[in-house]
Amino acid sequence: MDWSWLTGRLSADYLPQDPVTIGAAVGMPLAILAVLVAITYFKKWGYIWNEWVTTLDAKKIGIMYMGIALLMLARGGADALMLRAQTALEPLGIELFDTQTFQEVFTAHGSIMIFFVAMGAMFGLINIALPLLLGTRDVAYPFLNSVSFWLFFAGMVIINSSLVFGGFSNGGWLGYPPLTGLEYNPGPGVDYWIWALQISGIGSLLSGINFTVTILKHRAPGMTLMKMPIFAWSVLVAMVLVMLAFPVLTATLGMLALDRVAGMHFFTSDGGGNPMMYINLIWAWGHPEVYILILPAFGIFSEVVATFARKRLFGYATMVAALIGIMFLSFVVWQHHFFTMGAGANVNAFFGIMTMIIAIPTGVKLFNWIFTMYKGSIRFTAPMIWFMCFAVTFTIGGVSGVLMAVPALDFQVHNTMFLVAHFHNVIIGGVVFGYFAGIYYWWPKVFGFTLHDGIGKLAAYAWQVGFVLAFIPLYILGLMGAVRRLDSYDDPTWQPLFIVSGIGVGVIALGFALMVIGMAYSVWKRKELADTTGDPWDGRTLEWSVPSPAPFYNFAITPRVSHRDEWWERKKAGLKVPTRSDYKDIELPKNSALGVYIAVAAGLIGIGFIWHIWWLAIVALIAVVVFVIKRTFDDDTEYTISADTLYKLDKEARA
Amino acid sequence: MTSHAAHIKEKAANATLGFWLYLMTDIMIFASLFATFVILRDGTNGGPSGQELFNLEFVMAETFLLLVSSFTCGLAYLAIKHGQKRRTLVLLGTTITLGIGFLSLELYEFGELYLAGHDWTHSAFLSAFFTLVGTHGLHILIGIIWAIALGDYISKRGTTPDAVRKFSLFALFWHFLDLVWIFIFTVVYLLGAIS
Amino acid sequence: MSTQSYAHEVRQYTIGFIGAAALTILAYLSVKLEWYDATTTAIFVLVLAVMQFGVQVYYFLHLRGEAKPRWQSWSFVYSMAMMLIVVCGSLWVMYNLNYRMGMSGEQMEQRMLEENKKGF
Repeated sequence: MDWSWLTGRLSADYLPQDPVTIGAAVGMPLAILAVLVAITYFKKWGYIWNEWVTTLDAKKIGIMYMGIALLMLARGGADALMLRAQTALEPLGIELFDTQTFQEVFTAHGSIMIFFVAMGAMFGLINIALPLLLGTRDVAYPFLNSVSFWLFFAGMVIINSSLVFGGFSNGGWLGYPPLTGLEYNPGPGVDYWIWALQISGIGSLLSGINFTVTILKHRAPGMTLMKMPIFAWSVLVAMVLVMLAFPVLTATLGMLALDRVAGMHFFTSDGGGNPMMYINLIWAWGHPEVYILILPAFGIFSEVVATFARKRLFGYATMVAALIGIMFLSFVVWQHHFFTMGAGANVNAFFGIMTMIIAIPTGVKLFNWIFTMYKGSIRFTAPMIWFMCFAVTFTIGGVSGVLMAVPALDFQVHNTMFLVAHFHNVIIGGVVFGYFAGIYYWWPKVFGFTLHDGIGKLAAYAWQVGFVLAFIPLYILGLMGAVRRLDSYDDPTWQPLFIVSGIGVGVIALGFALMVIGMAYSVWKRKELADTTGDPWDGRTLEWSVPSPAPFYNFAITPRVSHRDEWWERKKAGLKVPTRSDYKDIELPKNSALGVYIAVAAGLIGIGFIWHIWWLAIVALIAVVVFVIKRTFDDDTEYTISADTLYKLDKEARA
Repeated sequence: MTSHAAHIKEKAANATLGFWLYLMTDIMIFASLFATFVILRDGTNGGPSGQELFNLEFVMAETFLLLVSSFTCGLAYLAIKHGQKRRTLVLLGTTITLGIGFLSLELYEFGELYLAGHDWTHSAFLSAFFTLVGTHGLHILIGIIWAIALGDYISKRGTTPDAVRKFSLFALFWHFLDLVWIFIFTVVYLLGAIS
Repeated sequence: MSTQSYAHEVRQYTIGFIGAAALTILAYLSVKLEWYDATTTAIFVLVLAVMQFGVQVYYFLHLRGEAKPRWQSWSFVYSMAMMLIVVCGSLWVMYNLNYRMGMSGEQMEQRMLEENKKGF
């Protein structure tokens, strides 16, 4: 009896073979097991299910996103340490990893950092901050929000399980065919990569719709678009990009999957296929993606700089114009990622010019932040230090990007370490520093106490120094001809630079450790660091008008907005104490388990396709349909909190 | 208007915008598949092109089944807006039947190609064809399942404001699929048939 | 709701249906009966497709009925614009790449020699 239909291509051959992978493959499940045992021992399953897994509260969903993002940062960072350790030590004759493992490590590094750290932190911070900044209770579609998070979680599980069983893709974070096609990569690694991205990508797409409708339709009464905080504008623009770009990723990964699973010829080198089409499409997504990541970070800095300079943001209207300009331009530059693929001068010139133009609105924003600081009364708290680090670091990265926008120049540095240095420069300097600033800025609103400022600043300095040591040498190496993604380099004069780079990653790791230590220390000292007023920074926007930690209903009374920086204006005019009649009944979403069920089923579809267990994919697909239909038949999805209860809760929270 | 009624109206406007934005994302998926089809349509790998394979009369039949179903769907939406439960269900049933008819013809077309050896593994052109037209067909299948569930909902709970809202979203989806079909019909079949 | 507006609404859908059907038949006939040469026919059917798209969007999707601010209309216009940029941009880039990267080595060498003769 042939049982292969039951288990697909599962086989013991896919268990890890080398010591490093075996170590990780054993360590990770053990760590998870330890956590599960602890939860059982402390009898916390009910709490976790009711308060976290089935919640539709955006703030809690945001916290879960952040937790996963920070965990994945540790994993992606460990990958980076491995990569730089290899190139630093290899000339000494120490080969830490064989080539296949090295390829899998840099592929995992990139994929995890972009899709699970950056996207995760972004959605986490938006979930936490956006409704509060808009003066509303939750996002437009709370159930969809839960689905999005759990799809993200499912993708994270898939990508991490590749470590334990099957191995990961070796095709780089964008997986170019024909290397990632069936002929050259028949194993499950590339399929793991495809489905982790596909599943979490759908989560991202749904969030794009969710946050857009939230911003367009759920602002507090009186808050026109031109009165809403710039962070909300940056999220709006980023989500428009998500909605237009992610479908291209879905379609392209889908076509690659069809090549691999159904023997199609989209991107094969035979049968009429065209691998260049993949590269074209994937970058048509990929370029908007990097703007998706950076724009909310810009938005955070707009809030942070105004708050800690005690001065309203300079040039609100031009900031909005710049955001909209970037939104449009980010869709006309994608070809600059493959100048060297062979297009003619006209094509390269057009996209090169467009790329140079897109630097202008970004420059406008930078100047506006600086002008905001001018004659401001600046407090150098940790978020402000992150901004200062960003201002210098990101500018260097941006400039190196404009340099590469010139096709003739790009021909010299494409796919060298110069490119690697550039994108880490803008991602670390911009995205990472921005989201870290957001974490330190909004932490008290979420948890009720501030993070220890001194340790936070030390962490920022460590990241800044570590970044310089790790990446400036890569600029030099790239110009000297060092190609990317190699595990060994012939030229011995390059080795000192690789060693400096390796040390730099170590200093960054120190910075990360300081952040974690700072968080742990702050939890320990949370009584001393408590935020008793809800407004620890003397802030300008509405989130600081509610107690800390923010109550589950956000605002007991829906705020009526008449100004930009509404909270600042209210404090100036003198705060009124609300009377009992100001409170009204409110409706909030009930918890739901269907979000996590849908995501588990979606994950199983992925597993089915990865391991060719077709019956599993089909059953899981039917399950998704059933769960979705079940939800649509549920008309009783909200519960009411009476005005009386609200009045009592609010009085307690403000005491 | 009571605050609860206002809440329902707000939910409806909410749902429409959100679903509309989802349709915009679906346009981008189809756009990617269309662009790929156009680029790869000459990649026949020595095999047949559209001109040799496509039967325009058959495609016209498919087109009219879908177009009429879009019409009956619109009429069904008007019926549910005016609280006419029986009429809604009849028109919805017609829409579903026509949709199943469309899908049957399409499956027959695919089956014929497959049995003649012109399946998706033979060339980039065929891969792109089956994927583009097949993705549209998959959306139609999802629409049919949705319509059946919707019919069940309406027959059990009547033409409530919630039901009208849900129907309007289905109608948007179904009309959208006919819009995409205009371009499949034109770009894949008509342009393919021009010598 | 009045029966008058109901009848009006039904009329709108009927006009849309007939318009779409007519445009479909017209396109089909132009190809089947070979009214024009290949290029003209192609442009003709594409124009008819865009027209039918407009007819269906107007009569079936009621884009105009929206209350201000017209988010659906604006998001539709913007999405169409971005879609056209991605599709047309991809076609431009890919045709260019296919042409240049599809020639043989000798053909490319010939071409570069000629381009260099023209100077910078």
